[in-house]
Amino acid sequence: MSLKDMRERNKAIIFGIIVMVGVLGLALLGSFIIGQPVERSEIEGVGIRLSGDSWTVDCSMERTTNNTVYRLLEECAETNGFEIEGTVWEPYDAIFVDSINGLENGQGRFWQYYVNEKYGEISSDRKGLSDGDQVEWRWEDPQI
Amino acid sequence: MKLMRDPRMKTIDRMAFALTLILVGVVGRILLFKYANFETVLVVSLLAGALLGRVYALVVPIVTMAISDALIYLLGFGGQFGIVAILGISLFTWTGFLFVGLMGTRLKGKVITVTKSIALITGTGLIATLIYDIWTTLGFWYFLRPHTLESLTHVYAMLAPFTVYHLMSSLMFIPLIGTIFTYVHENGIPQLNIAPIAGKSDEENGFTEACPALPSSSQRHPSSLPAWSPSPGGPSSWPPTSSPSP
Repeated sequence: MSLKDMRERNKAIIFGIIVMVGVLGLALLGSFIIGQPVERSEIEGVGIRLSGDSWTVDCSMERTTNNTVYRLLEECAETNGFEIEGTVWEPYDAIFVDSINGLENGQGRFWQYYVNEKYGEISSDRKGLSDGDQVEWRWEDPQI
Repeated sequence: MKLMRDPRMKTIDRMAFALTLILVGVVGRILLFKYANFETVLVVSLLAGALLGRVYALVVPIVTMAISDALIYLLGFGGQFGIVAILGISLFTWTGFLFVGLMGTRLKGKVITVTKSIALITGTGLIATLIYDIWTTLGFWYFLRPHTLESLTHVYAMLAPFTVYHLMSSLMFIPLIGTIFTYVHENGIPQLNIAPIAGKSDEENGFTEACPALPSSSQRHPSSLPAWSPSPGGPSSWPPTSSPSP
C-alpha cells in the first residue's frame, strides 16, 4: 500500500468515526428532547372530557395509575365501551390519535387535547398528569 | 476524484444511474415511512445534482416524490388532510428536494479525494436538511395551522426533535449511499470475476468445468479484464485505490 493510499485510508477511518459519533450524538439529543416515558404512579381526582362533533363523554377517576393523557383516554374508553385508534410513530415512540369513538381526524379537524385548558404540546402518551388535572379532548380545527 | 459529470458516461448510462437513484429514493421512503423524517429522497436528490448535473437534479427529486407520494396516498395515508393541504404541502416538499438537488450541482467541478468528496457531500447534505426542514415547516404551517404569529412560532418551536432525527437520517444515509453511488459513478459496477493465475492453463485455473463457454486465457483480450484484476506484472488491490485514467 502506497503512502497516498494509507493517508486516504486514515482519512476514511477518521471520517467514519466522526459520522458514528455524530449519529450517536444526535440520537442522544433526540432522546433528550423527547424525554423518557412517564412512569406509572397513582394520581387522584382527575377527569377527562371528550368533545366530538355532536357528542360529549365525561369520565372522572377518584384514583388511577393511568397517569398520562393517553392512558386516561384508554381507561375512559374501556369504561364506556368505545374504541380509540392511533398510530405509533417511530423513532419518536409517540402515539398520534387518529380516531376516538368512531370519529376520525378529517375535514381539517383533528383530535387535540388540553390539560387544565392548556393546549397539549407533546404526544399524549408522554404527557404526565398530576392530582386534580382535568383533560379535554376536542375534535376541532388546529388552534395553534 | 472529480465530483462532476463524467464526460465518459453515456446518456443511457446516466439515465440508468438516475433510475437507480429514483429506485433507491422511492424504496427507501416507502420502507422508512413509519420512521418519520428518516428518508432517502434527500440523498438521491443531492447525488443527482452532484454526479449527474442540473437536468437530473430536477428530474430525480420530482420523479421520486411523484412516485412515492402516489404510493403513499394510494395506501391511504393523508386522507385526513384534504386535497388542498396535500397539494400545498407537496408543493413545499417537492420544491424543497428540488433545492437540495440544485445544491448538489454546486459540488460539480470539485477535484478532491474520495473521502473529501463524501465529506463534502455529507456536509452539504446536513445544511440542505436544515434548509429543507425550515422550508417545509413553513408549508405545514401555511396549509394546516392558523395564520397567526403565535402559531408560526409554536410550529417552529416544535420542530426540534423532527429536525434532529432528520439530521441523523442524513448523517447515516448520505455517507452510506453517497459512497456507493460515487464509487459506481467513478469506477462502474464491480463485477465478480475470477481472473486466471498467470502462467497456468485454463484447466489449472478451473475455467474448463466452471465456465466452459469462456474463451481460453490466450484468446481473452486483456481489455476484457476488470481494472482491478490481478495482473501478472505486479500486485493489485481491492477495491481500486484510484480512478482509472480516461
